Amino acid sequence: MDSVIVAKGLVKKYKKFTLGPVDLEIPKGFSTALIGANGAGKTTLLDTICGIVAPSKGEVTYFGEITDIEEGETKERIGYQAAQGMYPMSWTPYDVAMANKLGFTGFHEERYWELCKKYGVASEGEKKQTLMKMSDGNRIRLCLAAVFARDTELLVLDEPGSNLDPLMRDRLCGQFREYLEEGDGEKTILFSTHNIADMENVTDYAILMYDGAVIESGFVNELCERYVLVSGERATFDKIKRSLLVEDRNMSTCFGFAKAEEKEKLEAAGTVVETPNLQQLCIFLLRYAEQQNS
Amino acid sequence: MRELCWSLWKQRWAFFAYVVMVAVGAGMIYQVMDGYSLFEMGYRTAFVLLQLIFMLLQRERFRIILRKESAHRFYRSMPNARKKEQKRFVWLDVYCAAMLAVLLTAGIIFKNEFVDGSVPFAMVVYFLVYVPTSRIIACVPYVWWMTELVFAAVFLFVPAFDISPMLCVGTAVAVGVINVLLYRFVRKLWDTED
Repeated sequence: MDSVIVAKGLVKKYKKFTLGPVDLEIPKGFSTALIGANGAGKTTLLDTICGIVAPSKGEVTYFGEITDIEEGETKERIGYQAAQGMYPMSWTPYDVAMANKLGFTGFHEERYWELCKKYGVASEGEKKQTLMKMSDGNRIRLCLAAVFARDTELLVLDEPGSNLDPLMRDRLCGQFREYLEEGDGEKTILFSTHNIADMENVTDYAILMYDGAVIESGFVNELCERYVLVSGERATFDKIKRSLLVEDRNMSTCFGFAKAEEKEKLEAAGTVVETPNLQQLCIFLLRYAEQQNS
Repeated sequence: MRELCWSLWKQRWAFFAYVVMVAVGAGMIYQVMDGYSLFEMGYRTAFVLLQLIFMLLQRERFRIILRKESAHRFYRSMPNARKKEQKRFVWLDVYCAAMLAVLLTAGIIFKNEFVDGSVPFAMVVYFLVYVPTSRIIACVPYVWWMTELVFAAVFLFVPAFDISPMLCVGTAVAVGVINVLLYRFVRKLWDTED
């Protein structure tokens, strides 16, 4: 597997939170989702990878060879979009265009205004409406327009789907696919989310985070095949309790979650065993991590 | 050599403070020798120091604004972000030093004598124009600006200072224009340089 980013022993320490040590690889040419609850460290990890904040320890290798993000044109090749605080609130869409034009050589103003129009966020040359007066959703749209208007090889997007209406989220998924197809295996997307249901159809690779650590990662199909979703009657669940990682007994039908190795044993006990989808997998894995932590 | 220059540059405010102290001390000795009373001497020295203090305060305001601006993730996502941030602060010092020079020169040229009357005159120019224009270009707090404007009005209409209102307004406009142009120029430099 070719990796666009390789992080080794990455640590970022804050007063009340520590990320890592994190070891991870982001596969080249795919869309990778960083999934975790609020406060899991997704934004810190993305910020550390993109050089927004300096790591306390560890190393990140970019595009297979570069270890210093400030080196050469590395940042030109990375399109970064923050969930909030990306641009000063007093800026207008016009200021965003001008700043990007000054800051990045691969920024295409025409494409930016086209995307602004397409996303319904601003008309060409908009100089009056400041970001302060925009809704949260429109601010995200504007940031997305700016980042997609650049020539990049890697997009790092923090919560791109949050605050977007379903139609815009669908349009964003389309934009993801278009970007990856254009790249023909050379372009990569890394995005964070705490609600994977909205972006599941554009996720090829998933990284799950809990309390500043990576708890699981892999290609979605492989990842889902590592675990099984179990359902059955209460009495049956008493017998298979030891094989389950997490169980949910609040309903008449009980649900549980186990490793794929236990499949035969669980089926023999008379439970229904299925392969989970990504959303189910995330919920149960995060619950398992929470359970282990408490 | 580069390291030596850098360490000297980092100490620049200590050098600046030293130069100011020497200048003020020399000014005081000169005034005493020239027969000024202790009160007059103290009053004039206080004005020079006040002007410097205000300039440093103004610099601090700009620094806070710059720091806030640099904290936005967009700036940090740009190539050479940290280097650019450091250079901005250097440019800020250049701007402040140039502006201080403009203010003092305005006081000296227009009154033609530094000691008698030109210090309060320079203060008027500073309060009346430099602060408001700085507010416009860098969004300094509104209340602060209003307080300083009241001070300006007090200075302008105290007859003891013998300041011509027309001269004040004329100089004020000139200094205001220089301030905005200089700021725009410096801003352009730090925005466009690599």
